[in-house]
Amino acid sequence: MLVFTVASGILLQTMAAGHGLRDSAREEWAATSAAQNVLERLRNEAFLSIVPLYDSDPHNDPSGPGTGPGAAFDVPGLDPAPDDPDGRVGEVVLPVVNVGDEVARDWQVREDIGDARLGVPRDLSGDAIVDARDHGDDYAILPVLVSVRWNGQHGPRELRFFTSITEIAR
Amino acid sequence: MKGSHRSGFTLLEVILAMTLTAIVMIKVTGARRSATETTEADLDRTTLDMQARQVLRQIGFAIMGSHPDSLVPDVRRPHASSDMKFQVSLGLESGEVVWSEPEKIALEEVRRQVYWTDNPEALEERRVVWTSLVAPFLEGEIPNGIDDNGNGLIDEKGLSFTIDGGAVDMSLTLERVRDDGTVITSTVGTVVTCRNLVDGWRSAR
Repeated sequence: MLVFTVASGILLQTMAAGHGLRDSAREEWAATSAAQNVLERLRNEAFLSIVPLYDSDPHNDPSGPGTGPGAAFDVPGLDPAPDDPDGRVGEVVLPVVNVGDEVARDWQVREDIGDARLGVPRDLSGDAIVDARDHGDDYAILPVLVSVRWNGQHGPRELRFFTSITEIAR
Repeated sequence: MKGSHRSGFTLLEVILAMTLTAIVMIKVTGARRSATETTEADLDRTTLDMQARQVLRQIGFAIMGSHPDSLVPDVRRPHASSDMKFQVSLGLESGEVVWSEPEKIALEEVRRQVYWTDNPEALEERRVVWTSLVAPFLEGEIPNGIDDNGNGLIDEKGLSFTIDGGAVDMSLTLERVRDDGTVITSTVGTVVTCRNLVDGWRSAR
């Protein structure tokens, strides 16, 4: 009797664990797929429009303020992590920094400062020099990090996809 | 008073123990059956999810190799098409780009199939069926002239394509009826950008 009950308990536990694993795999696929879609959309834009469209400044969008997709995105089926500052699971990280202040913002594509996850400082304009200029209109290589961070079945989870985009002169 | 010591169980104790055992076994068996059914439903759903992803990936890879100008029809949001024609570059011959015959990925609504074909509508047409479980309409959509599922498309079919510049937005809903009559669905979507941007595209036909 005892053996039977214990064996049944183990079986039920195994089934529940399998169910949890399948849910985790589903979450992971949703995150991967969303990040991949963002990268495909980036690839579809004119190369020098990627930064103004996908940075977090809505005022520099090429078709007018707030018309670009911006740096944050949602993923259907994934909830943001409890400590997420903007409450959105997806984020596109570009080598841009605000060199102004919180009121008069001045977003620049910089080679010398920025998010270390993008490999900055590094040459972005192809002149082999890392300088302190704004390369918003002459970057030749654009490192991009797409991060998806969500509140998963077993706590907060994060997937990061890093790539570099460049334009082939034809 | 040694003779008054009793060994063994009374009939009442035995009956009580057997009843309790039976109740526990019935409960445990019921829980196991319920867990097994849930697991089977889960496995069916996972299998359908995997099939939907695989078909979508196949469609994505096919279209990824095409030239954006070869995409037909040029359908834009909020409208969608359930088929897409395209051509890919086969390489260079005497300095000229050689383009493939048109290929098409489409939904056969009656058979609920997604198929790939080259030379569509021609005598030498070849068809390959990629799945036979496509839902008539994308999940949450009904044919009423409005966007029911909030994806920005109107009355889109179980396989839908829209074009945005050189990118193709595609969605697929698979639907399967299980042995117990319950219906499971899986909806997937992706975006691919046409990679084949060589100059000199021209229609093969």
